[in-house]
Amino acid sequence: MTVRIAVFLTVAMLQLAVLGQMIWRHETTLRQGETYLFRVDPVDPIHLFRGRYLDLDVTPTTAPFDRPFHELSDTWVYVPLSTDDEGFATLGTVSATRPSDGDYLRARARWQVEDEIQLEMPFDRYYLREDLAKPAPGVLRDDRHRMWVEVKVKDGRAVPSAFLIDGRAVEDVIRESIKQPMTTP
Amino acid sequence: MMNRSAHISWLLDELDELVTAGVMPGETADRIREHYGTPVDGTSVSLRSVFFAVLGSLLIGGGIILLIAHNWSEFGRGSRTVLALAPLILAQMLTFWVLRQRATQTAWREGVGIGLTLMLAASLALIGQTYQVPGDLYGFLGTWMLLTLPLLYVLDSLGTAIFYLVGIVWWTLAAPDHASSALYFLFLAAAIPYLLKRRHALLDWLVAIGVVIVWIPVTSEVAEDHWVSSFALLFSSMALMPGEKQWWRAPIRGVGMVGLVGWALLVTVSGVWDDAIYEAVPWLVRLTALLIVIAQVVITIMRCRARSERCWVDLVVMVFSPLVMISWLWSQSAGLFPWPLLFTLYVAALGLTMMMDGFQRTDTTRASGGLAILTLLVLTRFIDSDLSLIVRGLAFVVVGLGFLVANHLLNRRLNRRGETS
Repeated sequence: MTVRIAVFLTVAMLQLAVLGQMIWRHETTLRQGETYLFRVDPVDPIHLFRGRYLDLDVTPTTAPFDRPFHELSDTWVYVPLSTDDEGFATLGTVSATRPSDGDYLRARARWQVEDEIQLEMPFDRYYLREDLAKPAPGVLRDDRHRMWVEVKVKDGRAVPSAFLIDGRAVEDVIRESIKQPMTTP
Repeated sequence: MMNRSAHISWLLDELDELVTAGVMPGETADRIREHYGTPVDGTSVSLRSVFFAVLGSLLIGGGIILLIAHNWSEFGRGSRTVLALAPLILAQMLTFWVLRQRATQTAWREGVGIGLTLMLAASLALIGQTYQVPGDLYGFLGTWMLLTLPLLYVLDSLGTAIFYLVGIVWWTLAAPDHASSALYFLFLAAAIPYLLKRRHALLDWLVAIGVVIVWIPVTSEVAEDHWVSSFALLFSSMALMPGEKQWWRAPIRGVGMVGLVGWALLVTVSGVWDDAIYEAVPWLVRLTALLIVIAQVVITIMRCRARSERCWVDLVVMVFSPLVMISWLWSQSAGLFPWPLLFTLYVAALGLTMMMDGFQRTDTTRASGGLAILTLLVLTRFIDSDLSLIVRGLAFVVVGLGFLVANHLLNRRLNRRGETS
């Protein structure tokens, strides 16, 4: 019986360690990561365990690559990040190896169309509180607004830190729209 | 007043503490356990309490997951991180207490087993929500199942095992590519020692159905155009699994046998053979298939030498996958042989063997099984064929008469045996 308890304690520690490592990895990215902005076109689905979220349809999701797809030995690729004149993120040439300097994303390569690789972005959702998520589609469908997601990037990992509508937090905009109908921006 | 079994389970619960306190040596405690065995605290009582424990923990676990799905964004990241670990730590503490104090009681072990499994999912989900982790169902289920696996062995809870066996099938179906889906067998292999120890029919059913479900994604990458052969190999291997119980009482063999009959009937349809186009198979896959066939032959021969009741039927089952594989490869080059006819004969042989075997052993279920296979063959072959209504009608009459005669003969044998004994 004591062996069983010792094994259980080890398993319990292992469970906590795995979860702790997940928390630590994301927390350091959020705290120490560089900020990049991606334009988005969100929709609103629901997750069985995690509740409501905005499905982030971000741009860009393709990056240049002028050699044949099979030269990427793995589907995991590295994409350098930079910023355009308006302050939004742009993607550099896809590479199979980790860049030695500068920020980059680690993402899965899906397929190639001519000289562009379609990527599966390492972030694709933004969770909203249940009561805010319900009126969200009304606000999001209003195409007079510009929407983008703020992403923190560190060592290839990317964690969304805010969802912004015309520079304001989505939560605030939705709260306001519940109180009064949206006005022209 | 407590009944006797309650006293026994109280005593067994106390043993660990008595040993720790030095009141009695561990050896004595073991002998007391051996003497009383597993506490027989009344199956009806324990069944009811197990039922309520399972239902209770499922409801609480489900409720906590719904609470999490509300997404308490006003709590801030720090408190949500603490919240994410809280349900897991609570469930772990409860499990620890149960292992120390109530380890012999099934209801408690089932309750905390299911509770801890669900709280693992809840904690993973809450971390995913807090940090906007991408919708990677494959990663989520994989982590969940890996962390659940050791609980099977530590807690010996049927509920946890059910979650695990269903979870790994779900995980396999969510796999991004077919190569990763083959990892299903690693996850399954990791649970096999537990399944062998536990020997529960429900778990066997889940394994049997799970393997058949994942077989499509697992084999589609390596042998897509050989699907007829790959399923023949799967079903015959399942049907040849060890065990002296009759196959309809052993889920893995039962599913294998039913699948094999269905598959054998399928390859009597000529259209299936038109699909046979040449596709190279990696040598590793060929080698694996060959090794499986050799294992099947060896096992069957050993079984016959040990004079197992299963010998005759197993011999016919054993022939199935080599026959399918050779025919499939051959049809790709030659294609002129009447394959449907060959397999019509095969199904007839399988049905007849089972029926005759049933007769010889005066085993009505086995004999009826054989008859059922023959009937299915006649139904599918004659409905499918171009033969005239007269021929088909006559065939049905003949099979029907055969049934009546077989039934009569079997009853007479049974009666005679009844008289002699």
